[in-house]
Amino acid sequence: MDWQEITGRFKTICKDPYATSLEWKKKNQKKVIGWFMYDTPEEIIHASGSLPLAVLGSGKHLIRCEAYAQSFICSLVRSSLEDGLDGTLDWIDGVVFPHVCDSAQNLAGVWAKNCPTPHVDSLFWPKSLNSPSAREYAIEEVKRFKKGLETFLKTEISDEALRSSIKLYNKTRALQREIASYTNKLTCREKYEIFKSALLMPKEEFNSLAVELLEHLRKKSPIAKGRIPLAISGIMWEPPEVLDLFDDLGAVIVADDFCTGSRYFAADVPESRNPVEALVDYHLDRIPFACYHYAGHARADFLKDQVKRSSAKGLVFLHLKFCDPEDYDYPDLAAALDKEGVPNIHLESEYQTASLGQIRTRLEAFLEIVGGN
Amino acid sequence: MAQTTTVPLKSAPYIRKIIENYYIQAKRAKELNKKVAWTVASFPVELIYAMDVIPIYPENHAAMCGARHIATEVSQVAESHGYSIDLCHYALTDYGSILSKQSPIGGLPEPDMLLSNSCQCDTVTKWFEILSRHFNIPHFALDAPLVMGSPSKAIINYLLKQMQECTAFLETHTGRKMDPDKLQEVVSLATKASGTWGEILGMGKNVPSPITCFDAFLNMAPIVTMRGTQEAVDCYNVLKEEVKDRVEKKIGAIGEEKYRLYWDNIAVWHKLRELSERFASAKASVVVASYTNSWAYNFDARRPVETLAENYTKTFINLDLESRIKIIGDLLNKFSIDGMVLHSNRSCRAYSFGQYDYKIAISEKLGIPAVILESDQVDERFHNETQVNTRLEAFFEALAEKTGRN
Repeated sequence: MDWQEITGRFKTICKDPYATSLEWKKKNQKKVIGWFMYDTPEEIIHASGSLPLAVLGSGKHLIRCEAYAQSFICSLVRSSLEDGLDGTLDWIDGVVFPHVCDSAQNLAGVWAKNCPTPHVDSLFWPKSLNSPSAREYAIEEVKRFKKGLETFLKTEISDEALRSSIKLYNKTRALQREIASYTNKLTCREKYEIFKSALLMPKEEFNSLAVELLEHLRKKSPIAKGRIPLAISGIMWEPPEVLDLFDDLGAVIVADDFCTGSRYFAADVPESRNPVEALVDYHLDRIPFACYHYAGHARADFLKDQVKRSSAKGLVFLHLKFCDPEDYDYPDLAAALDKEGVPNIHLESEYQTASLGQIRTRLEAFLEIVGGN
Repeated sequence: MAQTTTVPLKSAPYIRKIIENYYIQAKRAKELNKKVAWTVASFPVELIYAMDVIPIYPENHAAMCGARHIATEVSQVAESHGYSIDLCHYALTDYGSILSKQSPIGGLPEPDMLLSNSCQCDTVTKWFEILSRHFNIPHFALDAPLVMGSPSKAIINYLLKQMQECTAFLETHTGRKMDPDKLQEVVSLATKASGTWGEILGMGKNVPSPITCFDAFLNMAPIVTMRGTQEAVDCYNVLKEEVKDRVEKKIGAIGEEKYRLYWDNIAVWHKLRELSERFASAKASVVVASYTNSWAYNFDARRPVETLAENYTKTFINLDLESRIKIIGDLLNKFSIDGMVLHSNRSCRAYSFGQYDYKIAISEKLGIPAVILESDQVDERFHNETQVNTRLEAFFEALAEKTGRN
C-alpha cells in the first residue's frame, strides 16, 4: 500500500471511530467489548475472541447526557455517556470502566443504569500502586474481571490464549514505539490518527498497516526541519483541533505521556510469567499518571527526564477542563519544570472545543519564547 | 406567630466547647510531645488515636471557613498559585489557608504526617499529595476500591493488609509500637459514640422529628474528628438524652411539621442558617441525610482491626449507584419522607455525579417531589440565591400538591 492509502485508512477510522468495530462484529458474528479510558487489559478481551473497542468520547453536541451528568464533569466522561445514551453504542455487547477517578467511577453506575449494554463491568483498580497489598489485590481483581467476561461470553479464556494475545499486543506496542521514534517525519495530526486508530480496530490489522507504514517512514524525508521540538503532557491526545495548532504554528511533538499516546505503548507486558500476573505487573509499572498515587515526585521526575532525553525546548500541559487529577498535579509539576529551566505552558480544552482562538494565541506566544533559545 | 427557626438544641454550646478544647489541645501538640496527623473524615482515625497521635481534619477547618464566609477569599489564594477553581473547595480553602495564614481559629497545627482514605473520593489522595510535597512529610494513602453492594473478600483482604501497612507507617513515624489493648479501647469508644450518633439520627423517624439535618450538621464535628475518644461518647450521650426528651414530649425541631424531607450531599456550610430558616418557614423538616449517616458506623468492637477494615470501605459514596438508590429508598420509607433535596455540590464530583439518577429512579418513579439546589459546600461563588429560592418555591408548591397539605 502506498503512503496515502495507509494514512488514509487511519484517517477514515478516526472520522467514524466505531464503524470499523461494528463492521467487524457483523462480519465475524462475534462480540465487541468497549473499554472506557484508560487502563484496561485489552488482551483479556482479545483472548476471549471478542474485539476490544476504546470508548473515548467525541466532540459531538451534548444533549442527552445533560439529564444524567452535571456540567462540571469532564467532557470525556460526558461525551462518552452521550454515545451510550444516543444510540451510537447500542450495538456493543459489553463495556468495562476502569475506576481511575471519581467521575469514571460514577460513570460506570450511570451507564449500567441507563444504557442498553448487556454486560457492564468495572475494573476496581488499586490507586496506590507501590504497596505489596496492591499487587495482591489487583491480581484478584483482574481474575474477577476475567471470570465475569468468561461467564458472559460462555467461554473460557485459557492461559495459552492470553499469552498469545499478549504477544500480539506487545507487537503492536513495539511497532507504535518505532513509529513514534520518527518524530520528525510525522505531523501531529498524523500521529494522532495512527495512535487513535490502534484503539479502534483489530490489532492484527493495525500491525500489518504499521509494518507497511514503517517501510515508508524509513525512507521518508523529515518534514519537521526547523520546527520547534516540544513535549506535551496530559491524558487524552484530544481534541484534534488543538493538536493541529502544533502543526500550524511550527512545532513538532518529540515526547508525550498521553494515555492514548506514548503511555499506551511505552512498555511491554512481560511474556515469561503467569499472564494475569504479567498484566498486573505491567499495569503497576507504567509511565506515572495523574490518576494514581505515587510516593514522592514520580511524575515531576519523569517529566524532567523525558524533556531532557527528547531535547524538547519546552513542555505544554494539555488538560481537559474538569480533570481533577491533572489539576491537582499541575502547579507542582510546573514549578518543578520552572526550577529546571524548562519553559512550560498550561492549555485547557474540552472535547466540545469552542475557544481555539485563545489557545492559538497563547501557544503562538509560547513558541516565540522557546523558539528564541 | 409562625416559627421560622429550628428550636435550638441546649447541648449545642457544650458540643461546641468540646471541639474548641480539641483544637486548643491540638495546638499544644509540641508542648505535649505529641505528633500531629492530618487526616480525612472517612479515615479509620481509631488507628491514629490508638497511637496517641493528634488527628486534625483540614476538611473540618475548611467547613468552618465556609461557615465564616471566608472560604471564597481563601480559595482564591490557592487559585492564584495555579490551582484550578474547578477543584474541591475544601482542598482549595485548606491550601489557601496554609499559604495565606487566614483561618477562623488562627490556623491549624502543622502536621508531622498525613493519612488519607480514597473511600470518600480520589480528591483527598491528590490533595494530600500536595500537602506531602509542601510540608515534606510522609503520606499514607489508604485505598478503598468502590464496593458493589457489600465488600468482596478481595476488598476486605486488601483493607486488612492496608491496616497492617498503616500501623507500620504509624509505628515508623512515631517511634512506638501499636498497643493492641489501646486499640481495643479506642475502637470500643468509637463503637459507643458511633452507635449513639446513629441512635440520635434515627430519632428523626419520629413525627414530629426532634432534630433536623441542620442540627446534625452543626453537631457532627465530634463524631467525625473525635471518634475513639471518651469526650465523643460523653457529648453524644448528652445530646441523645436531650433529643430523646423531645421525642417523649413530642417537641418538633421546627414546631409544626408539614413536610418531611431528605437531604443529599455535603452541607452548604456557608448558608446553613439561611437554609435552615427557609425550610422551617415552609414548615418543612429536613429529617434525614445520607451525609450525616456516614458516621453512624456499625463497629464490632470484639474484632477491632477487622471491623475497621470492613467499615472504612462502605461509606455511602463508595457504594455503587444501585446500592445508593436502595439506601435512599430505604431512608425515604423509614423516615416517612415527602420530598428530596439534592445539593448538587460544585466541589464534589464523587457525591454529585449520580444525583440526577436519584431523581429519575426515585422521584419520578415514585412521584416524590425533588429539588436540585446548585451550590457549593463552602464557596459562595457557586451559589445563586435567586435560582435557589425560585427552585425551592416551586418545590414547596409541588410538595403541597403532592401531599395535600399547605
